[in-house]
Amino acid sequence: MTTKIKAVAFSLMFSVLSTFALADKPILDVTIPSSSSGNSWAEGNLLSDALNRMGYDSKVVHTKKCVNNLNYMSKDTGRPAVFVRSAKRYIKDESRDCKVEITDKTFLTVFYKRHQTMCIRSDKPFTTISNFLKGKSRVTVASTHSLPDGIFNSLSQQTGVKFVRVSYKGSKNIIKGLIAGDTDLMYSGFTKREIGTDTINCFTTSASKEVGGRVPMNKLFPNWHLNETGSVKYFHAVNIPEDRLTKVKADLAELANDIKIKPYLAKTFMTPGKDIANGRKVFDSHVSIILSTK
Amino acid sequence: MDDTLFVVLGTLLGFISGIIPGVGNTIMILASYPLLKDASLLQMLLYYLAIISSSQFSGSVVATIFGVPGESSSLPAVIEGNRMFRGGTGNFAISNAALGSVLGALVAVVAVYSVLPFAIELIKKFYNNNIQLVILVLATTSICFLMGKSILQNIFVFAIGIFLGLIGTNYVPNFIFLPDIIPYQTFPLLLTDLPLFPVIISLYVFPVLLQTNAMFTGFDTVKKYEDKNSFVDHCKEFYKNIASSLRGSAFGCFIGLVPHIGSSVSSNLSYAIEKKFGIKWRQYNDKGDIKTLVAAETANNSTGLVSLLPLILIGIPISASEAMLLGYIDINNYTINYETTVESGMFKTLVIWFIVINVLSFLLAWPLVRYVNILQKINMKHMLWGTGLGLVALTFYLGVKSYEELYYMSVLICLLPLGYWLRKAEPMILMIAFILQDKLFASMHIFYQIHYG
Repeated sequence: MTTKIKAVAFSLMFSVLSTFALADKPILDVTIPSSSSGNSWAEGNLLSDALNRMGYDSKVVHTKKCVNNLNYMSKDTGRPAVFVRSAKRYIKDESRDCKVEITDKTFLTVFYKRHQTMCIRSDKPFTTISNFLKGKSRVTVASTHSLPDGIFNSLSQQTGVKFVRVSYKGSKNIIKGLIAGDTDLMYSGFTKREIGTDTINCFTTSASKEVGGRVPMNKLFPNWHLNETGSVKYFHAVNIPEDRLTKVKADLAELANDIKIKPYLAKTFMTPGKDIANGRKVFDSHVSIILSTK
Repeated sequence: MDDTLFVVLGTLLGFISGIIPGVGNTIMILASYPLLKDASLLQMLLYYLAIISSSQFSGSVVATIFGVPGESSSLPAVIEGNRMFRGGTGNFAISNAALGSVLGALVAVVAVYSVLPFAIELIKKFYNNNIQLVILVLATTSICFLMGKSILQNIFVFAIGIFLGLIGTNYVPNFIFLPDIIPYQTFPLLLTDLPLFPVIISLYVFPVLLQTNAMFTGFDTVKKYEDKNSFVDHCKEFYKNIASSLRGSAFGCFIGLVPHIGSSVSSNLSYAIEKKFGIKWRQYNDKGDIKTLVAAETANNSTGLVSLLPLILIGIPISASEAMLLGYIDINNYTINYETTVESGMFKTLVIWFIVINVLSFLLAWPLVRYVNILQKINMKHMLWGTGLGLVALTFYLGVKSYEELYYMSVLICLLPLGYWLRKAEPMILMIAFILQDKLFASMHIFYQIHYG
């Protein structure tokens, strides 16, 4: 009986101490306004785990969509957070009248820049882009629906071949469309999926230099305004007290050295935010390039 | 949660869905959203298989004793099983239907494994957007010609489903539906589409409950179920009917692929053919014929796995409950096709569990059937409306979870009058159109861009 009482007392003491230990940790959640699967969800968990390793008390807040996210951010939950947001998501949110204003206080730092790629089926012969386009009057390109209209117009004018955009919902379906033979080409973010699918051949990237033997787009299409445009993601501050902003910014930049995040970024040749000078300017520039207002 | 837990819960809840006539698998899947929202694709499919398989066992018990069909596939059990029950041999009707269901499941596994390699090869070689569009058009529009009393009414209901599905922002093609007519500025949440759950509650569950409620008017049964025979007696009786069971399995496997009505057609057609043979061979018993009943119930269960093939291989549902499941798969952002199910090895796990589920259902059904008389003391109408109220509460809960409780409840209430009208139509048509609308339009748009863009 005495042993049982001791065990209960010890457990209670342990849980109280653990609570105090947790209470000492600064809070920084990660909000994900998308589904509980896919790239964003995986990234959210990756970041939250890294923040916990860094000494934060962090969890993933799954708000599913922009409207819910906006509601969550406007509430005083007592838990400061970061909202990981891409330039494409920013454009989409603006177009749906779900505006989340970016200020110098809310724009913390860039997480990464992911490059774009173009791929063809690996069973089709490919030597150079001019050979590929030779004799063709039109080329169908599978791409995600979230890209703005008319992105391939200037490419059509420059090459004399009509680039027809075929929109798919979700990046998974782009690859499926290409493999099924629906389209001649695909244009999407350069992710693990594009690298690991052996039935496709991703021959170029939007990086300024050659990456993994892939020729940069600026050499293939020197005058295309999107030839160096990738996907930029930044950390948006949610209810973070002003006196903590500097420390949080520094810690977020340091995440690129985390044992899990570092290989994640390296595997798909992404540029970490800490290597991008003047992140806000880069982000704004990406938004305007995608919207073709530059 | 563990996969086993999904199987156990699915089996138990499938039993309940079979016991309450009218609730059916679709409504049970719908009510299971809190359980499925964080489930993996395998767990969702396991849960679904458990529900559709175990409900067959309890459904035929209720159809036999109460004479009320849970679903249209239970009609043979209502006719022959109930006649046998009234004649004092209801115990054999129930045991033979259950044994037939297990055999049907095993035959379906063999049939599926025989065709699977060819099906995958065909899909790999020929399944592009053009084929997908043809299948989607067939899967969605065929329902207008296969169900209900009036094709015109069906087309009208189908159009309403499409209209509701289009409300808000559409991504492929990218447009906002009727921006000058629909008051998006006053109700900006409409831009984010109508939420699936309240729409299905108002326009599928509500009319189905009204239809079932009407079936119970004037319903009464006083006869008690009893079984004085041993397990061996039941097996011996089934052995006499094993040829009918195998014929039923074969029909179930072939006809299970007919969109939307596969299970009901396979069950009723097996019944009709077996009856024709019975009359020809002068074996048909017009006071309750066990051979026709066994053929129909076996066909019903073998259809369960076969009809899942289009969903598993190409992501296209061919029944209302599959469409509901696909809705949840989409919400959870999973991809369902032969790569994620068959080539990932998941299908083998599913098949093993399918056999386990059927054996488990059989083992559970056998002792539980002795307590079926308790059901006679339960007011089924109260059960029905209790289910309805539970689903309304669930809608509110899901609204709170999405920070949109007011929106969810407003959509539910605004659509109820339409749901009331749908009691005289086929609400399943609207549900299929609503759920598959975005896939249909995306495929049509991609077709246009590829060929004419």
